[in-house]
Amino acid sequence: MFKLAMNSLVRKCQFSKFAQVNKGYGVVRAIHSKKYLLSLLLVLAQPLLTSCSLFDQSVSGSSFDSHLIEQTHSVVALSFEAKGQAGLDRLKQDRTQEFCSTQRGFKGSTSATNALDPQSSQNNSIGQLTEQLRLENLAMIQQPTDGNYLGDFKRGELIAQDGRGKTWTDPQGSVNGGNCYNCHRLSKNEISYGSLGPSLYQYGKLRGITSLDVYLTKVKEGASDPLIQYTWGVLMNSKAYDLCTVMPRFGVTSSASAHEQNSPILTQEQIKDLMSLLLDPRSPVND
Amino acid sequence: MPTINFLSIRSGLRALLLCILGIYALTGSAQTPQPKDTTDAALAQYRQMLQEANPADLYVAKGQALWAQARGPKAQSLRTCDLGLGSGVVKGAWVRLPRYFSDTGRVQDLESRLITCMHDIQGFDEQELIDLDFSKGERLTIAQLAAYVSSESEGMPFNVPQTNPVEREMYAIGQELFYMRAGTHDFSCASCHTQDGRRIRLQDLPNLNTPAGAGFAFGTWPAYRISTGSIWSMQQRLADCYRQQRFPKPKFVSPATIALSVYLGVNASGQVAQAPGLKR
Repeated sequence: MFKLAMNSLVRKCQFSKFAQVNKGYGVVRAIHSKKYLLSLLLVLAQPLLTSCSLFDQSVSGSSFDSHLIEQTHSVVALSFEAKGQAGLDRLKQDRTQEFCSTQRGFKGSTSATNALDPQSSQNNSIGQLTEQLRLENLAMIQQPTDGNYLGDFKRGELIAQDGRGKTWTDPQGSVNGGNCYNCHRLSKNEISYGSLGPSLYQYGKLRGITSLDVYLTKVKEGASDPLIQYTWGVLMNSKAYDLCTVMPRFGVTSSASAHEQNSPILTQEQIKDLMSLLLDPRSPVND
Repeated sequence: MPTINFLSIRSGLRALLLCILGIYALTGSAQTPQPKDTTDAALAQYRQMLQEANPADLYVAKGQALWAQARGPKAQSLRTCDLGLGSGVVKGAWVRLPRYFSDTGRVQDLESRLITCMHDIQGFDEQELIDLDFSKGERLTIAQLAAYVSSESEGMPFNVPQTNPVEREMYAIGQELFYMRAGTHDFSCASCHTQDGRRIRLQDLPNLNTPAGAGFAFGTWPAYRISTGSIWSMQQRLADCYRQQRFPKPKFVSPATIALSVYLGVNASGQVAQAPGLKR
């Protein structure tokens, strides 16, 4: 009996999904042409057509309206054009981007999810997905090919200051900046810093790198040092630590844009220079 | 009519700006970084100094003249253009845009509607207007007309309608787009615009989910941009947001930028229109 009811529900949903797809196109057409009446009728009929939408949501664990997402995709497809190095493939979201677009708590971070009732199955499945995606991002991190994690803090400062790169007005193949000062306070003397990210002033000093000796030991230890490992990891792929952080993934290319001839935002050498900017006791960050 | 030398005003203003920035940099770098509230107060003061002589007013005057002038293949003025409040009504029209128009069957923002009027009344080719670059030829005309039309709503509260189901759908789509993360940097609009009191470098970031933030962002464009020395419309502002988000380029008056404008406009409900504004 239960199986029978489920079957009929599933069949109804399939019909309804078909109707939703049609409706999606109708509304998008209405944006561009005069098919408004038709779309209005379909919109008014929505409650009838989507009577099983609750069933869909409980299965997918998402409370987001699939019809609305379809419509949004149609609008995106109509609205953008490739320009310069910014191709249309950049609109294709990878799993992390897709998931984090639905996480709309404070800061766009996953912490809002954690605050919810952990007993509910939906939150459990969101928690599992968050962890799964985080591990996917962790696996994307590459260690430096030469085993050396540090570079030159002076070059690092220039990279931190530079906000260029990857926009449609930046020449293809030009060197990208790290944009660090857009969001973080770093060197003491630079007062033009943003406040979206935490202050990184005295990053190394506050974490125990109080002398050149300590620093040089860490340089030697490299991968086995937890601070080196963590800092390298966050710079390479921040999403491996906080899945929906607003910080870009500087050293990896997401699966969705892998077919784009674009390389990661920063090279390994640039990330090494940023490592030194943060950790070297002689860096203005640790002044 | 007095002749106004745009160039000399622009270069004069730039010199003034450089001077202020110079003083600011000198005083700033001589000290340790200032507490945040001091920095914010200094920035607010600096902006107010600039606001007193807004070059955007020149574009308003130009736009007003262009509105009344017989132009285009049909040599007609825009005096019969319906911006939503009836034929030729300009006052108060802007704070009720974007809205659904039954003659075109879609939700239109000010710039999209101006294109419709320039096509229907004056005989301009719609696609040609859309394909032009910002600030060039008839697209500069549209920006000047937008400056004029928006100025005619100055001081009025935003009241972007949500009465029509298509208007409500555009709001919902706008919200989806606001949170859509993509591109090389994983950015969405929300990455920068969902918190109060944050900055990029020294630039304040309005929280676009609050009436005050949305009102500041949506209610002050079109604006004169000192850094580019030109008038920028809301469509141009949004296109540049997407450029910095590292997205591909949104087409002029695309459904995406109009949906985002609906989202911002509705979030700004009750906030007072201040356009045309003045930006760094």
